[in-house]
Amino acid sequence: MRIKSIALEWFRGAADPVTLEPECKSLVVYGANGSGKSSFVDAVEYVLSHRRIRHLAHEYSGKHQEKGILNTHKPKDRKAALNIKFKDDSELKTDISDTGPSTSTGAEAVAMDTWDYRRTVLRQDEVAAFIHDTKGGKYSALLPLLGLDQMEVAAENLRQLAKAVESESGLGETRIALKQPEATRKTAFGTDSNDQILKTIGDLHTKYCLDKTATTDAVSRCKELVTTLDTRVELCSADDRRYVALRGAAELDLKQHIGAVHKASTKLVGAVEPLIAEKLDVLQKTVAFVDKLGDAKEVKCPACGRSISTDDFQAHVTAERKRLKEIIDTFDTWKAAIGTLCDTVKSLKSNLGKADVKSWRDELAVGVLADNFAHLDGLNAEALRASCGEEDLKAIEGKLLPLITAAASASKDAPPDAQALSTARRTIEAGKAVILAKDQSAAAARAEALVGFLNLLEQGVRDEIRMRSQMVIDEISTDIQAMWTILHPDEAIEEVRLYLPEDADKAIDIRLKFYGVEQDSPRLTLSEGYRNSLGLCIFLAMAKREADNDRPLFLDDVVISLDRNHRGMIQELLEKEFSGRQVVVLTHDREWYTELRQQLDAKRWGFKVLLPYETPEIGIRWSHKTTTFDDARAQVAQRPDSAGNDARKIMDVELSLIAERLQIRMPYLRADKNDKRMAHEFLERFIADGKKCFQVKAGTDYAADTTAIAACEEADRLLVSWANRASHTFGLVPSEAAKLIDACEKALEIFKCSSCGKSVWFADAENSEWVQCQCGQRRWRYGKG
Amino acid sequence: MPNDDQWITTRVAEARKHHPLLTEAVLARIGPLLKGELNEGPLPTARLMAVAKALIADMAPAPPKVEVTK
Repeated sequence: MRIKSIALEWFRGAADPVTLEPECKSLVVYGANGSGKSSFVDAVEYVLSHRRIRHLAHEYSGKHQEKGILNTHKPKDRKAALNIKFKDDSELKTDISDTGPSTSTGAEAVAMDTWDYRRTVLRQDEVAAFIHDTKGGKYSALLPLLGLDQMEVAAENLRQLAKAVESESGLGETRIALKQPEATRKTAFGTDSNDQILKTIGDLHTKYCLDKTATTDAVSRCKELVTTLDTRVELCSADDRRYVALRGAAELDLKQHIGAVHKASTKLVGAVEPLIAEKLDVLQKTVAFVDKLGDAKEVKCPACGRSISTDDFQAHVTAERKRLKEIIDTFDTWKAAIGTLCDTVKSLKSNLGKADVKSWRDELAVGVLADNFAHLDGLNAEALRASCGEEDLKAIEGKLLPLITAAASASKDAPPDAQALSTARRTIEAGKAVILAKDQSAAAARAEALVGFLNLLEQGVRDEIRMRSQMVIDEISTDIQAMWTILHPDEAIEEVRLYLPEDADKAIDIRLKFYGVEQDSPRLTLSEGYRNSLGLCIFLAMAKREADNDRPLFLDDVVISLDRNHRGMIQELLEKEFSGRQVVVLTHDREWYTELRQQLDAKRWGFKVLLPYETPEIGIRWSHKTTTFDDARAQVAQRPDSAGNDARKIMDVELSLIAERLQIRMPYLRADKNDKRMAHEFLERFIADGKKCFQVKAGTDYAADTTAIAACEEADRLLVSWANRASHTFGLVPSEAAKLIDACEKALEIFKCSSCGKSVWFADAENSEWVQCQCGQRRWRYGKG
Repeated sequence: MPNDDQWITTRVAEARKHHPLLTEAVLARIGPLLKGELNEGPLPTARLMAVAKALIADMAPAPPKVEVTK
């Protein structure tokens, strides 16, 4: 959808309404720095990017961006607004309030939501930033342009979702918790199967809970048994209760649990310390790398750089993955051992803290075990769980084991009933842990399946992104190469293309051949100008993919670091590759603007000039002319010398280009002086040649255009005297500067026909003796000078 | 594409082979998610947690069928 006009009102540099009117044609806009060119580009970005302008985002975000987009001197009673009008006469009107978000209406037909700003506008800083960016940065920048950003969002969401499932289901803790009942089970049930354990619980339930035969669920049976056994203990004599409590303490296998922690710690230190930091990160990357190897016969190991066969490499990675898994398992075992030890300490505290054993404790507490009881009372089992070091283990071993020995000694002659109750209680606790672990294990398996499923989906999306990126990148690379060749013909930088590095996910880089040598990054060998030129090719190649959409392209000061030759090639590139597309070129480069104005087809291109910016209250203004003399005029009052110098610079450029178009033969000068001729030299030739070559229609024949020659003579006279004075002695007064500018402008106007408005070189027939304007009123005879 | 029916069907079928524990409820929920909000933008943490909870609940084994007799 082509743009007819963009109107700004108190937006960015604009004050009263100012309108850029391409009228659906392509357009070149010239404006000195700060004249307001980018305000029009900002307007396009603002409406296409959901009311956000990226280069303001570091300062203003959200609705606060309104502070940055309004003209700083906007009167309170004036509104800020944008209005973009399209080819089908639909309009997008946006009113921007001082404090809140803006509102847009109209232009549904142009489907603004599907119009990606990044494929529409290219700014100079974005070209440089893209090329200098990392591979990951390039990937992020290009993904939306490749149309794959949604898929990247989906992949990232799936990754986060898998992590959320892992955290929400407590999968990590469950894995550790599942290891704890193993030791308890072994102590209580030996090698009994699950069915045998259930039968044992059932038998105990029948024995102690005769009144609750309806309960069939094993966990419920355990709960009922615990309550019943506790009640029975309560009904026992004080001596029996003491026996039960002491026996509970005595049966705790603290020594084994301490040993388990020691063993797990030793294994962990031995296995983990030298390996984990070194391998973990590399291995994760390597796994992804291996998955992408495909049919390659040999591969360079990303970890050590050696070249090895793919089979060996894959076997190596599989073995390393197994090793990593074993280490994770060892970690879990270590944590589980500490957990079991802490639970045992808690049980010991609980048993020896009961009122039933108080008299026994009081007797021992005045003797050699006083410190031991004090240590037990001071232990915080949960703190121990978080951090259990070697010193803690030594203290537990030294202080708590004697207490268990003492409890065992005191309870060895327990009455049979008390012994039976105690044993039953321990069996039930262990049985319950085994049954619950079974459920936990099933839940963990389900959670693991879910996490695995989400990981698989994420990998699927990433594979899809890679495949599609590769496809699109291959297509785009062909265009990039073609465009590069137009911009840099006969240069030894070839085969410029994008590629997906094999050793990294989420990465894109640029590859090229530099004097026959393959280079994996343009940053290695290309100059800044070349890198920017490359960035431009990439953007235009992306934009070309959207040619069917007929959406305009905005190129904002993108040639800043290119030399004159390469800038000239951009015009050829635009004509060749984007002749059917509306392109809006904005530049502060006067010379390039002049070249474009003289060389681009006026049927398809318009040319507009912005006046130098004066104040925020005056805002952005258009010059009424397509030449750039208003830049000079703006300085007449304050800086007449600068105005005179500018006028001459404009003439230098304009006349050199006209001389090329009219094939004026200039005397040969040494070295680069040929490219640095001054306006005076050209005017001299025009005056000399023009008497024979510059002709105006007189009846049915042509006669010398004496008016044109006089205009050239007058401009030359003033340039030689006043412009030289402006440069050398700074003695130009405002009236002289104004007269000089007028004379220069008038001299240039002679090359345009006053009847048809076309340049004298408009009709440029090949092998013809002359060129002429459209109506034939004026003409220039070639090579007759 | 992750929001394409064909793509989702293929991926889900593949996933079922690797993870037989996946329930119909999870598979039914993931399709609309892939077609919708997972593509639309980064999910906020609260929403991620809510979806995770729902998926975990979907994985719970179905209660044993009770035959209703008249």
